[in-house]
Amino acid sequence: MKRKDILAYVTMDKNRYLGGKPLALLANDLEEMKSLSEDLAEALKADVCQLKNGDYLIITRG
Amino acid sequence: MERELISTQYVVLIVTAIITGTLARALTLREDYRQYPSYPNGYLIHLLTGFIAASLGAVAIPALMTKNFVAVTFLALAIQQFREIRKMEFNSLMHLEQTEYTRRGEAYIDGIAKTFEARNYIALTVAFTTALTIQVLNSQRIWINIAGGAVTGFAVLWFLKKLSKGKTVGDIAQVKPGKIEVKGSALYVDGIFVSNLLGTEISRKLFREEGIAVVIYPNENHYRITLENYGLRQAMLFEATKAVGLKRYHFTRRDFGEGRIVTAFVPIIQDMDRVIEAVKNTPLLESVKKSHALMETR
Repeated sequence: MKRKDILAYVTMDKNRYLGGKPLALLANDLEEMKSLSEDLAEALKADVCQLKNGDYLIITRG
Repeated sequence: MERELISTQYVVLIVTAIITGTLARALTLREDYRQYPSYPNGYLIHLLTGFIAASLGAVAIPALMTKNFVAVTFLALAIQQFREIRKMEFNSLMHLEQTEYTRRGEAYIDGIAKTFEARNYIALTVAFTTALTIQVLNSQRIWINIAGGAVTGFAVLWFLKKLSKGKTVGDIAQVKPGKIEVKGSALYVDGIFVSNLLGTEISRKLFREEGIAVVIYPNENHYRITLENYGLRQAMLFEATKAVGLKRYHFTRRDFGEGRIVTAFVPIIQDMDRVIEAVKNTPLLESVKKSHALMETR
């Protein structure tokens, strides 16, 4: 099975906005968070997972 | 010069055996079409290797009859050659993995490669038994020798084909269409959680409108051991996506509660019947198959 990796973390919450790997992005509003996730996923040919807290994870495609 | 030539009897024996052996390979090659893309070069390669296998089987009897016992050891060479065919198939399919819609998986590739090796043994055995029959008959009438050899050869082919014929998913399970539901970023099929990778609106819309899903129900509880194997699930997904193409997303998921298996993806062509047929026709992989009777404890 192909290993999955988190490529980016997109959030609106400053408390969950942590540096390092993977790339963490802080969005101003919901729309920005959505479009950031979609753009990143499109560019990286990756999958998007929305967590229950509303944040987005960009994950390598299996 | 005359002495060095082989007798007409042996020419008939060898030629008949080679023809029946090669025909045996050609007849078994037709069945490979579903497992393998139908490119003409692949077909030619296997016909020619089948011809060589048949030739090796055909000349074994004349070699023995002329007290050339050492020459029979070339059968060991044949085995080496067949192993090479298996390796060649394995490597070739492994290299194609990245170009397919989904991966065949190592288990499926191993099964296909083994089948190709086995079918060369069939060609060799058919040629050998044909030659043996002609030698035993040893009639003055050539056509009796040819007919006798061919009949035995094809009887052996029929028997070996029956012996090596494997089962398919459709023999041990029911395959039915599944109902797709998207809740937030989660995908459910018939109430079974499949994936939470539908994070974007586009992906949710795509799955809602164009997604296709089948649910596999094992006929007996013990068939779950076979069906839930990752290699077989990968093979089912491969056959399904090969039948109707793949736009995006492909998932396979097990339901531990009731033993159901879900295969879901977004196809290029919307054809549920073709997907069901493809999943049903997926062969039960040799490396995955378990005999329930042998597993019973005392």
